[in-house]
Amino acid sequence: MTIPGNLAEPVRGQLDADGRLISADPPLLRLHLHCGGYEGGPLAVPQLLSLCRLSRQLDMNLSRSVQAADEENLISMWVEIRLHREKQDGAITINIIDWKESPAPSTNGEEPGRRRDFDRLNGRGSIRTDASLRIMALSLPGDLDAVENYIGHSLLDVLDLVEPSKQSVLVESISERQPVRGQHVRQRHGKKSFYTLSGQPLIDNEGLFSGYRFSLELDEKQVAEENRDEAGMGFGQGDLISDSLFGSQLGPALRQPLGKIIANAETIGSRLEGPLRGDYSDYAKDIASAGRHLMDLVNDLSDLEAIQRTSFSVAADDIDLVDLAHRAAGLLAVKAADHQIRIDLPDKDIEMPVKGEFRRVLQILVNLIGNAIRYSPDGSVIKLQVINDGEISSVTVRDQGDGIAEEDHQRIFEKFERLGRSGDGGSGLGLFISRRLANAMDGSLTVESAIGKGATFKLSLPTRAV
Amino acid sequence: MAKRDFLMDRNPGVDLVQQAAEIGSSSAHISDDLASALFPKSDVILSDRMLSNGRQYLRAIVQEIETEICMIAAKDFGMQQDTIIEIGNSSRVHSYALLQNAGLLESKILLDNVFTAVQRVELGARLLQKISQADLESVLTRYLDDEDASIADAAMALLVAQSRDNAGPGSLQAHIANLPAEILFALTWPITAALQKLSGDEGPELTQAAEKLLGGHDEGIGTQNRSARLAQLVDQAEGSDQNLHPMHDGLDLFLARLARRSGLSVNQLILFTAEPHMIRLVLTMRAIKIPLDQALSIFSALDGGGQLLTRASYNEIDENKASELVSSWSANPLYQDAQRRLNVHLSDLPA
Repeated sequence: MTIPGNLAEPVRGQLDADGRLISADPPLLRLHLHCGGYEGGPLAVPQLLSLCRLSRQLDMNLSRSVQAADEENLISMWVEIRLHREKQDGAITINIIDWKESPAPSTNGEEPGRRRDFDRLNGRGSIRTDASLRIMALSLPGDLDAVENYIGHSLLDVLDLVEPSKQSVLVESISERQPVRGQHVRQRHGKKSFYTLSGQPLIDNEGLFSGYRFSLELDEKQVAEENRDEAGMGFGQGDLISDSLFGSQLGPALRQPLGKIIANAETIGSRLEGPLRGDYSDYAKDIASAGRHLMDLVNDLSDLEAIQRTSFSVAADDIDLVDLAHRAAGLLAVKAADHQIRIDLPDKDIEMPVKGEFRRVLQILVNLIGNAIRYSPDGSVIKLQVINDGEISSVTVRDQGDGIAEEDHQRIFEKFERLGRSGDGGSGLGLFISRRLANAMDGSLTVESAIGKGATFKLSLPTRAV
Repeated sequence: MAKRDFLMDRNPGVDLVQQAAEIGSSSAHISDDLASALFPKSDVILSDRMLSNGRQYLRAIVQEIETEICMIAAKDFGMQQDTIIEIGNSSRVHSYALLQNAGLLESKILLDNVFTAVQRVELGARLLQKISQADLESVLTRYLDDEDASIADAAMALLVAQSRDNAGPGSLQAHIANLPAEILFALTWPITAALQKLSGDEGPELTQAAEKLLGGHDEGIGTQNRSARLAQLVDQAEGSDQNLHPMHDGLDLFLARLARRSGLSVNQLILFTAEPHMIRLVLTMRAIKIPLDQALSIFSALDGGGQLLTRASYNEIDENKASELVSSWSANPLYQDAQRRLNVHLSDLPA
C-alpha cells in the first residue's frame, strides 16, 4: 500500500531556536511521537534532526531526500529545510513534499513478532541491541525485573561470559558482524541465571548494520551444576541419572548434537555451501526431517517429565485467547501453506481474556493446529473460534480431516497413543501433555468428533475479569 | 597554468629578483607534481581531457561565486570599491590563482566533487555515442503524463532544471545551482577571503554578501537533486524495475535510481564507472538483482573503452557476496576511509 503525498499540501513543521518542534502537521507529529518525542519537545526524528543541524551549521537551506521508519512503515520524503533569516529568531521550517508511506520489507523475510513467538514457545528469551550493543528490547522468561533494569545498558555490562566461552571470541565475532553461536553467559545481577547466547547481525533496509538480535536459552546443564555446587548435595555417587532425567541431563545432552545434525543437514539440503547432486540433497533433507522429529520427541519427553513432577506449576498470566490463536496460527502459517490449508481465525478485534501461562497456552494451540494440519486433506480449511461461557472461555480448533471414532475420544489423550498411525512425525505425547497443561491451568481440553466429519478440539480456561 | 597566468599578469616593472624568489619557491614542489603524475595512487586513469575539464569546471565555479558575491556586495550592500565592481562585471576569474597558491582548492570534498563533475561529462559523452541528444532529452517527457501527480510534477521540475542549465549530457554543468550545499559553503568562504585580499577592503560587506549568497542558495533546484526526487518517486511506483536504464531515463535519473536501490551515493556510482572494467558497477547491478540482459545493455551503454561484460562473468558473480560488498561500500565514508588507511598501515608492517 502506498499513501500518495498530496501535492497541494506539503507536510509542515516548525522548530524554534532550541530545536523544539513547536508546530507540526499530523503525519509529522505522529512520526515524532513514534520516535520517542513529545509535543513541544525536541525534534525526535533522527534523519530530520541531522538535516536541521546541518542546515544551521552551514546557515543554508537544504533540500534532500530522507527515509524514515515508523513501526511497520517506511516513509520516503523530500524534505526542504528553510531557515528564518528575516525574523532573526533562529526558527526553522520543515516542508515535506512527497510524503509516501509503504510497508517496510522485513529484514529477513520473517516477522520479528513471529520469531519472538517461536522463542517464547521454546522458553527462550531474546535481546535486540543497537549497533553499539546497547540493549533496546528484551524478554527473559521468568525475569520481569530484567526488562526495566537492562534497557539502555551495554550487553557486555549485563552478561558475563562463562568458561569455556571467552569474551574476546564474542567481541571479535561481534566486531566482524558475524553470527554468534552457543556462547555460555550468566546474568551479572538479579537472578544470575545461566544462558546459552546466540545471535544474528541485523542489516537494515539501507544495507547498513543496525545491531544484533540475540536469543537466550536457559543453560539447564550449568544451572543443574550450580544447584549441585550450592546445595552441596546433588545426586548420589552411585546414581547414574537423576530423578530429573530430561530436564537437566538427557534433554540438553541430546538437544545440542541434534541441533547440529539438523542445522548441518539443512545446510547441505539447501545447497548453501555449493552445488550437490539432487538425490544427495534429498537425503540431507530426510536427515534434517528425522532430526526434527527426534528433537520434538526430546522436547515432548522433557515436558512429560515436567508435568508429571508433583512440584509442577504454571503461571497465571493475563492472556487473550484471540491473540494467542493468531500467534499460534502465525507460527504454523508456512506449514499450512505447504498443504494449501487455510486457517480461519476469529476477528482480531474480539477480546477473550483468560488466565493461563502464555507459553503453555501457545504450546497447546500450536499442538492442536499442528495436528489439524497433519490430519487434514490438502486444500481444506481449519477453523478457530472463541466462545465465552461466563466463567469459562474457550477456543475451538475444527478441522476437515477423517475424524475420530467415539470410542477413541479418551484414548487419544493417553500417553504414546497413536491410534495405529505411524510415520507422520507425531510422538503420541502432544495431546497427553496438552490436556495435562490445560488441567494445570484450571482448564480443560476436550474433543468432539465422528468418523468422516472432522474433529473439533476445545481448550477451555478460566475467564479473566477485565 | 595558473602560475603562468600569474606571471603574465605581472607588471613588467616589478622587481625581477622578487619574481625569481617566487618561482624558486614554487619549483620546490616539482617533485610533488611529478610524483602524482608518475605514481598515481588510484587505478582510475585521468585523461588529459578530464584534467582539462576539471580545471575548467573549477575555474568556472570559482568565477561564478566571486562574481555573485561582488554583485551582491555592490547592489545590496552599497559597496563601491573599484576592484569589487570590476570583478562583479567581469567574465574572467580573479581569485583562482590566489586560492590555488594557498592550497585552498585542494580539499578532498571539493576535488571529489570536481572529479564527479568531469566523469559525469565523460559518461554523458559515452552515452551520446549510442543515442542522440534529442532522444535523450525526450525520455523524461514520458513521466510528465504519469498518473501520479507528484511524479509528473517532479519530472517537470527536472526538465526545467535541465533546460535552465542548457547542459545536456556531454557538457559541463558548472553552475552554482547544481552545487550541493556543503560544496558551495566550502568554496564561498575562501573566495570571500580572497576577494577581501584582492580588494584590500576589510569591511563587513563582502561577508554579508557571502551570507546572502549562501542563504539564497536552493540546492533543491539543482539537476542532481531534482533527479534524486524523481528517482525516489519513480522507484516507489509499481513495475518500475523493468526500465532502469540510462537510455530509458537519461543519465541523471538512471544514476539517482541506481543509487537509491543500491544504497550507494550517486558520486560513488560515478566513480565506479571510471574504474577499470567498471567492476564495482557490475557487482552493484548483480547485488540489486538486475537481470542479465539488462545489465549487459547498461554496461555497454556506459562503457567507453570497448570492454565487454560477458554473460558468463555476470552469472558467475555470487549475488550474496555482491550484496555484502555493496553494503560495505555504503558504510560511512569516513569510516571506510579510516579502515582503508589502517589496512595500508598494517600491510606495511613486517610479517
